[in-house]
Amino acid sequence: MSRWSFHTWRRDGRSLRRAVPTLAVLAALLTTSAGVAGGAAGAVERDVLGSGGLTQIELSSFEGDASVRSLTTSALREAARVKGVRQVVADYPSVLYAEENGTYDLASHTLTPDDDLPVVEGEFTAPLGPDEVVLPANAQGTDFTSLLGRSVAFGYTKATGGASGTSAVVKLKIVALYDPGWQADGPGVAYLSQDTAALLAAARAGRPAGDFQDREGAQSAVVVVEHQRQVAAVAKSLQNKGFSASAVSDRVRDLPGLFGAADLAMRLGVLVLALGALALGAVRAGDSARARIGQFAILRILGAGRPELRRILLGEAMLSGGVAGVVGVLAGTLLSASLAGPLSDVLGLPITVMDALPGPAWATAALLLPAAGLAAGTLLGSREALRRDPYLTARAHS
Amino acid sequence: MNTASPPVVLSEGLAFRYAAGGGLIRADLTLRAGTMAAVEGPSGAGKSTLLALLGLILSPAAGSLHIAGTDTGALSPAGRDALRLRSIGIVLQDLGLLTFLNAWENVAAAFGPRLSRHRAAARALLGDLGMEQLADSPVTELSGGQRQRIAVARAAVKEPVLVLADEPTSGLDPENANSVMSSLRSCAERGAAVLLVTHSVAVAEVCDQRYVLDDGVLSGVREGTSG
Repeated sequence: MSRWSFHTWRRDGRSLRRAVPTLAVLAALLTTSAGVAGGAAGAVERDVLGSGGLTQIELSSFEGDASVRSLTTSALREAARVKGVRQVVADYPSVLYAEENGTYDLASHTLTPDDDLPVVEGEFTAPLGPDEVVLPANAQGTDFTSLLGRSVAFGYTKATGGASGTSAVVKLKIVALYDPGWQADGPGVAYLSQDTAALLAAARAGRPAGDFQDREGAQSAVVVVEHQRQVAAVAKSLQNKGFSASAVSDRVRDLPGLFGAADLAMRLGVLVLALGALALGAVRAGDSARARIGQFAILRILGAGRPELRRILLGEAMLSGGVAGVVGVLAGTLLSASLAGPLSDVLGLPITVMDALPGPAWATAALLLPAAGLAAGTLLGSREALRRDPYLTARAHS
Repeated sequence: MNTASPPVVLSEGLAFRYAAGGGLIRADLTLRAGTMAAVEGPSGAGKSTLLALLGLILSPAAGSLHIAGTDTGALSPAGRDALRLRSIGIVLQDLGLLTFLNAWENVAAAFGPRLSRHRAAARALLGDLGMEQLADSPVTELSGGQRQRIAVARAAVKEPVLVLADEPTSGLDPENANSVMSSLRSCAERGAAVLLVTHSVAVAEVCDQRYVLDDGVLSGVREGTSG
């Protein structure tokens, strides 16, 4: 970097200072995205882990995949016998529909230990009793508030053949209602005891409950481990027994779907920032050197060598990139912090300003990449323009 | 002219050929301290190229060039740039001033980019030239004559051993031309060797030595009429 850079950068409108606004916007976008994605992921992780996720392992059955062990009664018993396991709760999905009040069609699941329902009315103690159900406060146009505490007749399907079935009725007491915005298993889910959920799933398959549990098994199960430090060993042991087992904490920290996409977008953002700075440097440095050939010729007669002219441009690139990085990170941080409230409302999770601050790695990337990219681009872009001595070029043009 | 003083410029068989394969310059030249010399010649004869060779901006294809006793052929490009910064002042006709600096900063730029360190010297010289009131003016607001006088001041401020000037009075009114020539003469009187390239017979006639660059060959040394 040449000392001339300080003068040219501050005072010459043709300097690489012109790259600052574009790079600052890119750096701000990256910083804001990092803050928002990090805040959202952190809040979700905290929410899940706070509800016992640190000591839970999820077992999954993959229908048709022979390499994965089915979650049958005997398999679940074996899982429960693994050292360190306190409890295994299996999930049997099915459907409940309206029999007496309203018109609705609710998916049903076992209430498992990882379901941290935000109860708005009523109360219950896990595990649920076989005749108890927890519903959303409202779903599909039906308000369940008036039914709270009552035993209500629900319909379910009992298969009688390959493609035929009949309706059956089960009476369940609505013990609690939860916020319908909580949709970890999808919208409008009825939560049941394991036995009741198994009964409904078995009926839907046209089999006795015991037989269904012994042969078909559960779709998934939650294994509760006695202590967080045992989670890894228990998960490994379950995997060795053929189960598809993954610690909930690992899954939350490596969230697929939305947060996976957000992470990918962030990495792309870094790439865009780096390549954008590089391209901007390459184009702007060439243009700038050509536009200032007379100025460079004067600097040559004042004792500046061609390497110094290149250092002037490099210095301008580093100043521009540095300023763009600082401005971008500050603006992006302020923006993401100001988005903490709206984001919290959208996700229904508490997200503090601190949560929405970008992580140090992302902030560092946003801070340094504009300068590094612009400097590298400047080296490329100025090569051609400075190949011939500016003095000779200026003389030839004059 | 002091023939006993050591030569500031001593070139023997100095040659330059353009990359495009055009003209060839050959120059044997001796300039001593306190001398003011003029190089005349038709347009395209290579006068500006000769200036760039003596100013260590271009490298000769052959021959030797000593500036203030230093064999410039033995210097690295950085060494040549450093010698130019330290010992040579250059005034160019059409590559005047740095437009992002004001008048005194342009003069101080002769010392390098640490402008504020040389503020006093620059302002003092502008004062000596009667341009103190213009010291803080943006150079884009100055007349052609004022800009040229500042360019001469920039070349003179560090008291170099060699001052090279390319058409220093071209396009100037008589008053500004006289002022510029007086400044260059002052440089010579302070002990510098001054070489200027000119089309003007009047300018050449006030110099101590006159050279003609014709067809790429520097020759025909004639004594000037004034000293």
